[in-house]
Amino acid sequence: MKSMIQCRDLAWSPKGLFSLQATDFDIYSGEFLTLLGPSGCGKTSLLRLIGGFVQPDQGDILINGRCMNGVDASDRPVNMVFQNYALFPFMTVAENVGFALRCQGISSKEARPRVSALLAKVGLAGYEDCSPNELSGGQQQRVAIARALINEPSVLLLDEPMSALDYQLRQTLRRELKALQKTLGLTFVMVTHDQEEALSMSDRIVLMREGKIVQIDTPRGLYESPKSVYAAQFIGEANVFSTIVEEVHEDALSVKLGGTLSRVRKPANSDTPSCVHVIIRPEDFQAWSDDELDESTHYLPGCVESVTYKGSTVELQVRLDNGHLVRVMEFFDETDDTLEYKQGEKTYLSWHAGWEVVLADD
Amino acid sequence: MTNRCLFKRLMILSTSTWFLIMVVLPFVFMFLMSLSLDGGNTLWPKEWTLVHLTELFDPLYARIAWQSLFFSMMTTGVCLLIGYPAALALTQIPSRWKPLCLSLLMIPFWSSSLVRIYALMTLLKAKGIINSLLMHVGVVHLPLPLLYNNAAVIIGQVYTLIPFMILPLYALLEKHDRCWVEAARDLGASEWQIFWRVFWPYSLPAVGNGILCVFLPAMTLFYIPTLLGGRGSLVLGSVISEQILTQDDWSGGAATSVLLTLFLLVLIGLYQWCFRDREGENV
Repeated sequence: MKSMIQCRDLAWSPKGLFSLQATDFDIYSGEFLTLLGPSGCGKTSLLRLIGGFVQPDQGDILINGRCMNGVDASDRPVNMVFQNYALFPFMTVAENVGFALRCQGISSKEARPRVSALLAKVGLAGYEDCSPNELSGGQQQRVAIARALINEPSVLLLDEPMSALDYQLRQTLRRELKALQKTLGLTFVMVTHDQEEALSMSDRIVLMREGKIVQIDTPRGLYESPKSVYAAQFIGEANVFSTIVEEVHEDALSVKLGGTLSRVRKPANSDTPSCVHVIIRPEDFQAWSDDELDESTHYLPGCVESVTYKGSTVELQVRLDNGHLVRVMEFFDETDDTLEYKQGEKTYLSWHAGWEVVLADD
Repeated sequence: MTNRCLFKRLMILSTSTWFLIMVVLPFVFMFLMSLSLDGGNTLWPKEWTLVHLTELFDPLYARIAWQSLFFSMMTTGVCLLIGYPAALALTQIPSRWKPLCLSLLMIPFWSSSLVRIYALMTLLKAKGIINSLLMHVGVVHLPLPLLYNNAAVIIGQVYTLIPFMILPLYALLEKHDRCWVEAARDLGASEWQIFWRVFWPYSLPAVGNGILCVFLPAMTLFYIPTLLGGRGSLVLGSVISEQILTQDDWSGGAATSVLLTLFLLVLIGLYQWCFRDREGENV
């Protein structure tokens, strides 16, 4: 795959308040990449560095193979969709979208057909002479996207484009934005703190924490094989058992989970760790009553502490025998369409062997 | 609900009463006075005449009106040229220095503007501070004629009125979204284009306000042209004060005032017509 943007050993720390450290990664042509992390993790700073609004203290950014050090935002082949869209309220929609062309000295008459064509592409044909204030949040977002696309940038940068919208609209616009990216065949780099948004839209996710990249992976890779406890807990829900290794087998480890000796996978890149973190997702657990147990399966005994009905699922909090509280999510399906659990009831948890993630504790 | 209605009505009633007593009635009286032949000593004229009003069509008045207009336009223009960059600079300074800078702008208002004009005269006069300094340094050998001319009038009016230009501009520019500047930069706008396409159209309502706030007082100020101006610096305001205070010609003064008031009303009407679209937008 062709690299569209290369970040080489980037570092930036304005006024010593915050620092982005040794950031090194590639953005491939045509992909939808998400910078994900909690607020203050440096994801927006990274986007602003790529956009050219600030210059790094150290390292290089290459766009299309060309070094961008010292090149201002106005001269970079990337454009930004701002968090609150930053539409000019004193201009019409067409004037907003045609702004970049007007700055190049193209008359508004000449710009008009190009503006209209682009507006049609984002589904806003006929809105040319509206004021941005008259449009809905979703329409404003599309105007902002059209305005950023008029110069035909190599990469579109999006700074939390959904944060100004309400929940219902966000769901629809996720699909629309993803579809737009596919039809345009353009590279999108989006910043978000919403892991659900990142999972559903991205080709790859860059997970960040305190100015550093934690993991770069596909949504599936990040969810199913997190490389750290942080990654596991940030993306989706995770039950983490931090425990010492009791016994080492050829391809497995014996550890105590919730007070019960269990066999788990051996971490891939570590020979004989003394301590491990075992991560099991709530939906990978199944809760059974004592008359449903069979001999060949391994169970963690516990007690149902709370039951939450969520429509398509039932969520349980189960207190294991050593006091560890775990979350369990059960789906309604043909085999199990009642899912009746009572508070205080004795229960036995099983999980698909091999679905657990085991990380060596460094 | 009814309480709020009552409150609203009371507010509207008191405001309209105030407007009637302080604005409409004086204007009516003034108009009646200008129609009086007996010097305007009574509220209701004993003998009626149109002579004071027809006198206003004398070319002399046209010349004086033009002089007033010229001073006011120059003052407003200079205020805008200095005030806009000043307001923009005020928004850029670190926020802990802003209160200080704004008070520096306002503090001169605590003393009488007449006193400040006399202070300005000590700066500008032939043996004043500026000329002494220039001669001491050796830039000039003879004192520059800084006082008693049209330039001095404009300097004095700009000095007195410039806060009225800076403050509305500052208030609006302070709310200017920094994201707009970044968005414009991202889309390839140069520094000049950012100003001309992003700041200027946004600030137009405040520019209009500032122009009105400077232009209207500039039209009515009379002591600045009287004190700082030369023989040619006669304006409508100084004519009115001359007629009423020196010549005891109240009817003539009233007629000139009517002319000035109507003139200003036309200008305000023009301003509101110019900004009629924007008013609706901001709601």
